[in-house]
Amino acid sequence: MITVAPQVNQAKSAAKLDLDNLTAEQTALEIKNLDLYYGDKQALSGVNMNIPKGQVTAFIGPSGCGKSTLLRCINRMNDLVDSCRIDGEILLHGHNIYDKNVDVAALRRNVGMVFQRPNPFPKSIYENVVYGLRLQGIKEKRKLDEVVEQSLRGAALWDEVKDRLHDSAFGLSGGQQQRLVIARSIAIEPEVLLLDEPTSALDPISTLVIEELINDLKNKFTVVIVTHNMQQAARVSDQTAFMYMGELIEYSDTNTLFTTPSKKKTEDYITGRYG
Amino acid sequence: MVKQWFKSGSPWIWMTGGAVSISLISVLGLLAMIAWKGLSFFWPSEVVQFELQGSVEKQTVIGEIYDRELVAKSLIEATGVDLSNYDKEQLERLLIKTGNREYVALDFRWVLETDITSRTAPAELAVFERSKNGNFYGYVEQVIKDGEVITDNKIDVLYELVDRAVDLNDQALDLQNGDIGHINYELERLRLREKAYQLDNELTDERVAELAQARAELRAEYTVLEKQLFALRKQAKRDQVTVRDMRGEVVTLPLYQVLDVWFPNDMGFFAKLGHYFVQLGKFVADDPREANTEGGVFPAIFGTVFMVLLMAVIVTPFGVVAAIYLHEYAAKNAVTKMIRIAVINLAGVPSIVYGVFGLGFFVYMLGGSIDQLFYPESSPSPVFGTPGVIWSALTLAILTLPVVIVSTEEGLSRIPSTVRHGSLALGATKAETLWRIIIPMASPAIMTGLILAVARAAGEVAPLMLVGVVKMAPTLPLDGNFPYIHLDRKFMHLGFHIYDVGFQSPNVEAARPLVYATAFLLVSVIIALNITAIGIRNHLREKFRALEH
Amino acid sequence: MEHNINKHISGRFNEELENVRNHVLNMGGLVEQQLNSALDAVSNGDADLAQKVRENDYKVNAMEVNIDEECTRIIARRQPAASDLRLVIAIAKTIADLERIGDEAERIAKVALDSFTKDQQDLLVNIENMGRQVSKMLHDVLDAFARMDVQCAFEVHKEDAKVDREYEAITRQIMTYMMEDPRSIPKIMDLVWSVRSLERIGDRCQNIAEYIIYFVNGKDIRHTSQEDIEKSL
Repeated sequence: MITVAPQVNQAKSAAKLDLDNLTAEQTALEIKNLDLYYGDKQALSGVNMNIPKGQVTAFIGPSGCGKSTLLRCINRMNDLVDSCRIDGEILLHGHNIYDKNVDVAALRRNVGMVFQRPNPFPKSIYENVVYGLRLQGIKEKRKLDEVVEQSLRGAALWDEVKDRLHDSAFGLSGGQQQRLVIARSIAIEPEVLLLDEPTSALDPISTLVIEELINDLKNKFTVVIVTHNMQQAARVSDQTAFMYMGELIEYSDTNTLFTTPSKKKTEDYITGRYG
Repeated sequence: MVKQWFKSGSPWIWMTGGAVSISLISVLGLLAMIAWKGLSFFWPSEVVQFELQGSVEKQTVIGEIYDRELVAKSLIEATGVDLSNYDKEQLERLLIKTGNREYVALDFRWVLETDITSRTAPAELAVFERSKNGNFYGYVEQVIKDGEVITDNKIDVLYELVDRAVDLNDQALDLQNGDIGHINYELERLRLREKAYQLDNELTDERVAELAQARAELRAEYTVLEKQLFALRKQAKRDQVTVRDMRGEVVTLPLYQVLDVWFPNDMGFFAKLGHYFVQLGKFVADDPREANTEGGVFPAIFGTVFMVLLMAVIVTPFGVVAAIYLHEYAAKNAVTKMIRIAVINLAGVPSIVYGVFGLGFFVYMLGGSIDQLFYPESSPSPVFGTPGVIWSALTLAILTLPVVIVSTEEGLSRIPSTVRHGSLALGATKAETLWRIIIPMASPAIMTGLILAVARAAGEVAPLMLVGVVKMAPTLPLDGNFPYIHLDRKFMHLGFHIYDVGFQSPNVEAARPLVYATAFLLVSVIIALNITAIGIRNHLREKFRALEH
Repeated sequence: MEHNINKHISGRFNEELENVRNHVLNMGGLVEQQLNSALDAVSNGDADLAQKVRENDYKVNAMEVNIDEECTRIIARRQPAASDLRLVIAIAKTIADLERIGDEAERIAKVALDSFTKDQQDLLVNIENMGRQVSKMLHDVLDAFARMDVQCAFEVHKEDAKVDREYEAITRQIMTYMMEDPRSIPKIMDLVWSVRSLERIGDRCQNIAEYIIYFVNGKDIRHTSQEDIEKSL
């Protein structure tokens, strides 16, 4: 009887990734010794993590722990903050995205981002989806139509909007708008999709729909999600990183982190004993 | 009790409501007053025949009652008038518009109530509106058509003949301003071309011949047209009408000077109403006459609207671009703050200062340089180096620039940063984001700025007097001659027109209703411009309504 | 209220619930097979089969551990509520009972390793009868679990009383036998234990039936009289 137990565990761990030693094919992003300062204030210190390809990785932690900041580093949205300074590297395909000769616009095409509040553009649903393509100068009607349908299907929105593609995007509900934003992001086929608290402005049902969508998205994209709702992280993610005061405290697969966390701080936070 | 009442907040509501009511009443009162005073001018008022005797010798006075006032008896007596058998303290005197300017010393005269022995309003009294010397009042005696006295239905024939004369005059005017004006314009251009060749030492014999030929052709054309014109004028001069005026003398009026004739005492309400609208239409659509005291104000309306639109076209791009730089690109430091404060303060500079600046910088410096560089041939007469509509528009554009900048910046800062980030996150550069997302979303705010700018510019007169407005402009800034839009021309403006008619005209009394009518028109033009802009803005706002929450 | 576990917005949650339910049914199947094998071994005196039953018990245990872990994961990650929560709780309890039933089957199989005299064979026949009855109970309750059938579960629940009566009868018979032949007591004790095991299996089937009713109706009917249960259904 005793001899069988390891056998069972062994079978399970085969599916589990060794996050410290991912092979090149398994890796989407490598974050190495990342420090970030807003003026004099250090917002991230010494973050090291590997984000696996084709999986959902969640960042959780209390407000101000730096999880959104870390997410924004990945597509260099922090560049928009004047006082922000970054040390360390983030490697995408083995190249540091903070190298001097990196084209930021190209990087952002490759690493899409969806924000907290739905932010559709004041255009039609169709124009919202093709916005990124138009930026790239694609004009063929056929190609655009095709991408619109594909992306909206990909964002589980096609059936709801296919008869009113040329209506204003503002006519959609909050949840639909957020899915439209996701469709807009996946229309330009990024490799990585960053979601910054994508459901915090939505009602519970829309939230579940988006979560289900995230589960589908990981078949084609690497998804990184920041959420202040740790139950959501538990529901949608494969890997979870717990951050606290700008540091990465614990990073492991979601099952382990939510059932048997190894650090006291993690345990306290996910059991609601934080503070 | 009182404390409770204060606590309930009702005094506050009463106070705020009262403030709104007072502003509303004053605005509506103002509008109602100028509308009433201005619009009632066109109503055909009764023409009265008075028989006078008393302080003046026995005489007949015919005219419209223009005004009435009460004066103290003692004041009148002081002028040597005997009022001993009048027992009230005050007596009324009437201001009568008698017309017939060339035959009587004053076309307005005061008549004392006590002097009136009889007052009638005979239906046969006619009013002639003339192109010279104002109205003429009197009884139609004879209608002379081509030297022949009409006996049957002379009034109907008179109407017919007046229409014919007006028609011929219009044709003559069209010919003069249209085709003949065009030939004159072309001749002037030929002259300038010749001079330009001369200045450049390129005036070859060939060119001289060419120019001479063109000139000869134009002259030939001119002679033909001139003949037509004289023929038309001659035709118009064919008929006359003789009228007995209030002195009892018979006066012959050539019909080519008569613009309209009507019998106000013989008109019913609807006839008067019809006449009213005809007069109103003439006021809006006709050119002014008699030093602006008669006729219409069309060039002024056109000039105002044209200048304001030109200003809008200039100020919008400038203001928007400046606001975008300040808000999007300029570093957020003390210098930017100073610039912003300076811009806001610009709005407080008195407008005449802008006028002086416009005259010095735009007209003399800029315009002078343009003339030197591009129009040396027309020297010494300036083209752009003199006040003109473009300089007026530019001056007002500078005047209203702060408004556009401030409201555009306001609009830009109201756009949620998430929308910006959304665009950037899709791989757009900052410029692409601005063009495709930010500026369209800020357009309602830009329109708001434009509305305020237009409202301010349309009402501004003082600076314009220095940089382009004139009392009487012979041509509009837009016509059929190449290059069709003449930005160098001077123009008329409703605001200045009010000032001119009200204070500079030879006959202030006669012009007073015109001042009100013009003021009402100016307000209407501003309201129309604003309503159009507000309509566009509301449409845009509806389109981008997600901004609001 | 209809309980359809396949109607969640989250497809993965559906899948996980479906999986854990299937695992429970698999485990139930295995336990049932274990019990039947044990009974066969006893009635045929088949020592090899009995040995096999005893060896296979680890499979049941491993399944319990796995399903337990699955339930923990579902609770941690999905925060189930209402019928989902009742289902997970019912499953967690059911597998504990199933595991114990597996253990009891192992104990019964032990009897087959002994050899019995002719007289004792009669006792075995009685035990076998009782065993078949209990086995049918287990089969029925698993069936009820698969279909989430309250009526069926309630039938099983009532069945336990019969098993209890049978148990008393057999016990009396064994006691009589032991009084007649005290020397056989050590060997007969194994029989007593196995009868006891069968009776326990009956009780556990009854527990499982209670969990089913708890899941479907949301009513806790433990420690309630049959009449009250019948009324409440």
